[in-house]
Amino acid sequence: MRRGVLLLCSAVLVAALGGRAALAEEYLSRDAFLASAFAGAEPQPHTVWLNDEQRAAARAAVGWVPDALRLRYWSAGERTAWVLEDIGKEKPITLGVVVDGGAIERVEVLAFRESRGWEIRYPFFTEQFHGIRLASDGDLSKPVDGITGATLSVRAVERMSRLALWLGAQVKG
Amino acid sequence: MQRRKRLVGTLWRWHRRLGLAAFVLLLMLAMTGIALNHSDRLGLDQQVVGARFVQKLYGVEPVAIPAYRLGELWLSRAPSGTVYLDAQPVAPCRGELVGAAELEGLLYAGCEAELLVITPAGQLVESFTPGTGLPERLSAVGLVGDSLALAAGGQWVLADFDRATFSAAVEPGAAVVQIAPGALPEPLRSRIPQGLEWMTWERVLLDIHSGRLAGPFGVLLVDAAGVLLCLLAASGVFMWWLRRRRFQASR
Repeated sequence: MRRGVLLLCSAVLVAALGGRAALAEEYLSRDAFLASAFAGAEPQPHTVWLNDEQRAAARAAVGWVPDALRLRYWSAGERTAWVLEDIGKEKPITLGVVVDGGAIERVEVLAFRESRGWEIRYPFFTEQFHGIRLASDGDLSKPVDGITGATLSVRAVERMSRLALWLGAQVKG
Repeated sequence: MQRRKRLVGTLWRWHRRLGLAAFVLLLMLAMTGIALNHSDRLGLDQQVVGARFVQKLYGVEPVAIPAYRLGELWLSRAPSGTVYLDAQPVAPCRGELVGAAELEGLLYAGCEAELLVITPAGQLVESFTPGTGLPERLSAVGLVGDSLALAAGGQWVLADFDRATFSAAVEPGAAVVQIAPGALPEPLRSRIPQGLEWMTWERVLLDIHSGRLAGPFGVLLVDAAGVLLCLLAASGVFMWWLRRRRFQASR
């Protein structure tokens, strides 16, 4: 009986926490992400302009490029941090990506606004990107395991990671 | 024997009648169902319905389009959520358009949850959102000297585009110059799509599929189609079973 009550309470707690996670929008602010990515160093803000030619090159290389002509990044030494946004199914996902020496050092979901697929924020998913590089065909150098019910969100994270690697190579290459 | 023949005959007649009655409804359910299954691939979840007669079905009246005049250009946000420079679409902008400004050759469109930086040719230079440092819930855009100022949470802050920060408070008493919203000239208004942000083809197909587009009667009609389908299946299986039994008896 006591075990049943405990199980029921746990289920209610998990459902409540799950509900909160699903409703939450911003998990980490941009400034908090940069502060943790460049602990002890002051990252310098920079911009990179993409003309039509570069946009076409980015699209050909990684399959996606945002509409904006100017993208922002922060750097310290060889490391660059990118805060990118792309639509999962209907709403934008804000992703922070740290690139070091042509490989992803860290991927962090800063904000998630869709009703499904928020599991992509958890380390079991984002840690798969550590050490991944851009392959010669524009894909990620290692396969990433998807999440059932979060296919479009997973694809958006992969797209943004590919673009961050490509942009990192452009500005540091 | 005669009784069974009569039963089979009656069943056949009703099976045909039910099939004919359900034909149009089932065709509609099947076609909308298939389209909904592939709505993301077909882009139906993104395409906004602009047809006036569909909007009328939803009881939607034409809405006023907030617009700001920047020199000779008009900046507005269509009901679909896209910001327009004159009649040229620029980019989607999150939240209502709350202000606009022109500074050093660039145009700024402030929506409640996004700031767009636009060239006078209508190209998107950059976009800022709360995820990329913009304050939450913008309520106005203005100029303080040579700086862009944004109102959020009851106070004005200055935009620093070199550092991409929006945190320095405007000095008390400083004059903030704002552009008042105006009415979009009719020749431009007629060229901007009137479809609403939420009214996508996916939504309309979903409402056709469930019958909700025709109100409570439509829902009952789709319910009736479901019952007809069940009766068709049941009468079909029953006739198959009767025929099979007769076939086995004759052997």
